[in-house]
Amino acid sequence: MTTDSDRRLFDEVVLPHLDDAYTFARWLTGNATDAEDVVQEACIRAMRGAHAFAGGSARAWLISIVRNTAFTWLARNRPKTLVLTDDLESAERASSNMPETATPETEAIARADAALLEAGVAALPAPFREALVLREFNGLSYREIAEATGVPVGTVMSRLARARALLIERIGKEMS
Amino acid sequence: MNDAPLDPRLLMQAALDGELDAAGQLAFESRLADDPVLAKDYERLATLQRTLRRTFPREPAPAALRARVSALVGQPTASNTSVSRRSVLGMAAALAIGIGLGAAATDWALGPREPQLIDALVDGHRRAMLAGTPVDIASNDRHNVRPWFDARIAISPPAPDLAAHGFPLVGGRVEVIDGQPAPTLVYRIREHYVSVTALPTSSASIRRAPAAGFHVLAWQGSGFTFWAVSDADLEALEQFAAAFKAAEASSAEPPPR
Repeated sequence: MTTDSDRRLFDEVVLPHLDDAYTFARWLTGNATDAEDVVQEACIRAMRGAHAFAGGSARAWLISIVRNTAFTWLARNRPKTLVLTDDLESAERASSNMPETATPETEAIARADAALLEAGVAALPAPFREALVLREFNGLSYREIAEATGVPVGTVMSRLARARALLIERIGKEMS
Repeated sequence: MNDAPLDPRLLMQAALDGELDAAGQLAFESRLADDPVLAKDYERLATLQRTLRRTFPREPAPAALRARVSALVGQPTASNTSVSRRSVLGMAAALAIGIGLGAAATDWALGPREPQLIDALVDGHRRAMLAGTPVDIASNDRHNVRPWFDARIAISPPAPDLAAHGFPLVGGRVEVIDGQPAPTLVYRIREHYVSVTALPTSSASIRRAPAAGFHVLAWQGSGFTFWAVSDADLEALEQFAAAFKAAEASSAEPPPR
């Protein structure tokens, strides 16, 4: 049931964060066309569920809807790109005992180009990638990331640490 | 910060992301001053953060997306519970069908399920056109398209070759209708696309329905009901349907089991 108050909520809660929704979807899907599809579908879902928005960060709420939508959308339309949930845990375990390899100089990191960085971000295990994207490109706080992805703040922090360590390691390898 | 000792790797993230309180930040900075290795690590992280943000500045949502999304709520509210699923034209389409029904009920005798079905079909067609990806598999060769459907959803509708009639095959995509995957063939009628969704045969009594900018035509064959949606004019769509029916019947494909 769509009511006037739902629509007002949609205007106040969803539309102001459309850029964030798009930015996030862009990184999750890997291309602009798919991102538009996902955001549009997410907005439809958000509108249906606007009355269920119980306060907190509107941005985190919308991001969580985009996240769920992207997951089902990718499963339906791009099954090959989908990372199964089982993989996430093992990815987290695997990279926790990552060997310390040669770390690049800060100058090398500063010189990394867009292609290298984009490939590096895309190659991150999904839970690390989404934490990093939400932090660096969406500018979400730890609390908002925790809300949007449904994990404790401590987990957000460790995922960010892993994501950044993996990226730095990759830059070190590619630029040495 | 509480008193529990925090892994320095985690502490560095929190400092970098401005998540430490003033006291925590001070303590961290004095630690950095005493520990050159930590300081070097921190510098790498800070450089990575700066580089990422500089390389990928925020991209605003495309204007067309913003307009489409705004249109979702810009419409006057209808009482229909599923209204929110539809785009503006979708809503107009539903309305047009409703009006048409009143005007010519004998002509179309819609079953109770069918208005929603038509909405879903029109929505699917519209979404595919808007997204700029009308097909999941692009091929003008039905020998590619049919196995693709078969492998993907284990349903493989007839896909007659209509190129000689001026209706080249563009490819196929999967729609979800009523919770079930439904194979959808896409052909071209001049500069227009037509989506032909094959559903298990029902007692479809509808023959055609106008829908604000779209026409919907249905016919049966090979154990399917084919639903064609297009913004081509009705005459062209009827020619297409006739060619499809004739080619599909003459190829005498066994009905799917």
